[in-house]
Amino acid sequence: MNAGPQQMIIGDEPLAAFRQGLTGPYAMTLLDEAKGRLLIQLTVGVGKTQFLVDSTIHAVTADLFDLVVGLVPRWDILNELRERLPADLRLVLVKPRPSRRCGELDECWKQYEQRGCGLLGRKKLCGLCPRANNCSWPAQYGARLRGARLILATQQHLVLNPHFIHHLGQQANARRVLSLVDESNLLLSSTERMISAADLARFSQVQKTLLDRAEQPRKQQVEWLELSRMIAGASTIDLRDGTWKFPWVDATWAVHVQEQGWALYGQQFRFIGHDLQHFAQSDVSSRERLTGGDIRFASLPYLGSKFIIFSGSIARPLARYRLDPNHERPTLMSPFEHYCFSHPGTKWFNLNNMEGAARYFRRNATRLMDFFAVKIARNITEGKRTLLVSRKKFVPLCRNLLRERLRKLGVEPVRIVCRGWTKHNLSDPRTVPLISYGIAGLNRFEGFHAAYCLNSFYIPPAAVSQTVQELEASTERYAVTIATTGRPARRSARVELPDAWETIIPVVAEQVLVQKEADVVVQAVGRVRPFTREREVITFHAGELPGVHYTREFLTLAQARSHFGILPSSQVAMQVRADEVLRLMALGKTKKQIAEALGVSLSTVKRDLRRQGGHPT
Amino acid sequence: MTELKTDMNPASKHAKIADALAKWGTETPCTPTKLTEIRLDANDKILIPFTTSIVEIDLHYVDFEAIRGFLHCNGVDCLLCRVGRRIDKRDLLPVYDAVDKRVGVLAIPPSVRPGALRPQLSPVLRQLKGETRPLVIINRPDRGRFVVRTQPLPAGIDDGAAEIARFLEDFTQGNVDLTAAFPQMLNEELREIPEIDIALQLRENA
Repeated sequence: MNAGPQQMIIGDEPLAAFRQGLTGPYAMTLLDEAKGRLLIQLTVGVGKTQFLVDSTIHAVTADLFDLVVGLVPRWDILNELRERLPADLRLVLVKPRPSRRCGELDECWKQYEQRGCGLLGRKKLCGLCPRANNCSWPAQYGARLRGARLILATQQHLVLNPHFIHHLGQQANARRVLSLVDESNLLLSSTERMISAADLARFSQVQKTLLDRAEQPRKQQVEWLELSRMIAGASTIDLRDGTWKFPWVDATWAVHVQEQGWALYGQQFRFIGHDLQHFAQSDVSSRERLTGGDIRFASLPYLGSKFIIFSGSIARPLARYRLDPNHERPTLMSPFEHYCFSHPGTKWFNLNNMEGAARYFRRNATRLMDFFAVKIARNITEGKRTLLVSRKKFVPLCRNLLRERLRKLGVEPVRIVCRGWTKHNLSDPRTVPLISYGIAGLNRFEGFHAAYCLNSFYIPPAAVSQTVQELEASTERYAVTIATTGRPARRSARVELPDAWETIIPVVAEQVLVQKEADVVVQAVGRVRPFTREREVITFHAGELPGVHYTREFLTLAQARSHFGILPSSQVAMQVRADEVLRLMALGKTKKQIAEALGVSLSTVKRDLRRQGGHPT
Repeated sequence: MTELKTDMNPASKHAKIADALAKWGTETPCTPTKLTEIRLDANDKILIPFTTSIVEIDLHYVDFEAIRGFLHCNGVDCLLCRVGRRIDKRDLLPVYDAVDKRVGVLAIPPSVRPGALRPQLSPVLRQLKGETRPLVIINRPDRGRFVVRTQPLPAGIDDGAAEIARFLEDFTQGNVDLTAAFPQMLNEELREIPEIDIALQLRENA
């Protein structure tokens, strides 16, 4: 299973053989070969989660590491992972603050959290909390982590604290740490940080007040104030060239500063001790002093010296750039990047036009829903289950139009459901779930036979630009545009760079576009496992989709209708009326009587009869 | 010839007696052309590129009391790798320094983001392939950014043609080692540096 030219895994047997090789020991062999920097790219449904589970079990039980940290995108996925691990495998969960349990105190908590004053929140609010005795959250770090071998947490921790893994390693007293990351969008999460000049001034002032009062100021206190003042006056060059090293954020000192800051400035105060530490470890090129005096920098997530990223699709150069933009560390190894998975029975159609784009969808929704209603109705008749996908803002419109059309088609009762999956009988073809783009990791629709995208998912150039440029300082940011060209249309990101510079930015921009746009489509329809089981998929995208070979692309809805033998709704109505004319004719009614009965003109009746081959006179 | 024993001089605990030729042989490039690194800072360097040939090298940046700067990586068993010093890859490009009037070595980091050196030099090297020899003015205003400007070679200036020709002849014959622009220390010598010694002990006893 080494990287090389394109390797196709088509059908059940080759897939089973491939999956059999995805064992925990194999993951560790790959990790060694990758010198600790491994990217596992496996198409949705191929076995990424099981490989993550096996790797976790082996890394812990074979005693290869002092600590294994598993990071997943959401709590429901974390719970799923937990259920798949052996019950006797001891693990520690790092939980977010139990905001519901905090009850009335939650609002105050949020204020403290938003201002970086969590430690003060613990002191003031947890002290008042009647449920404090039964709450494990405040003490979940420190002694509880000492000697932990497996820690599971959501990726949000790493977004908030880019050195979260290092922090866990220290708390667990672990030297050999392995990070296992179930990637969804962690690597594209914003890394841009800002320290405002006002916050910095208030932070320094509060420290000075405390220091003036102290009889015997501690060395660390003095050092913090000196450095806070120094950075407040530093130019961009100083921010980049200086060796910035802030002392450890001592909890007692931090609580004092937060208390004093809150007393002096209330909610205007922000504790920026941790932000300054992140600054000290930030990417040098990204650091800059903005015109208003604010400091901007990029704080990249640190995954430790050994990590495995499990991803459905993220491109290797993009993952590398987001972790190591200067290419200072060894490249990521991606042993499966040339693997392509497909099921021979899957039919993947793509409607390649802009009618499904947010700007044009409303005016085309009726025609489009006419088409999809017939497809859904046929599936119901054949006992097949259908998953629908839409942009979130169009979900109500699509649901209403489809209900109406399905009723006209006489396939009632059909329930189009948008949430509360557990409350509905998803095994009934008349229950049609409608999910929105952006859903990933939801495994309730694996047995569905079809997935149809009712509209398209496109992102604006600004969304690509933000992800591409946020690691760079203002002087090195260049406009990103998205062009839609060719027939069938293909979307691509473009960056205009000065003097023909040959930077990685155009490559990254293109890969960000794929990841944030095309991959979102693949992840959504991937819920029905089209790469590994026989499925029918209709996507609505002006471009290629990663890992997908279309069975056929339609440039117009008419082409799709013609392929599936679906008449436009106007023709269907005409046909129904003409059939009725014939039926009434056969009952001996006159044309005039028929026209009156159907509420149409005499000439319409005559035309319908001509079309049906009947005599108009 | 008398051989001295190291313990005869207790004052110099870290001094180690070595054979001069053996030691110097490893430190001095065995080429007649002595090359130096062209260090980039906030001041302009005016350079004339003349080749697209580069040599890749693995270096370690050290910042010890005794020595500061880049050192060669000693490959397998490198002591600096063992103590966890990161490897810095560089592409070494020989260029003519139009002010110093000699060929030097430009160490180009692998970064290809905007503001890095490599993406700004690539179009210049493409011009070279097209037989155009521009004058390149480079500075590094801060640690995060290089500024590269080009202009046509002014007529009548000393473009270093003779020096470049001499260099290229040596280079093609394999008599020039670009990597010699950076010092190399044997593992035994590195072990003598107190910071490395301490790091080694800590790692081995951990």
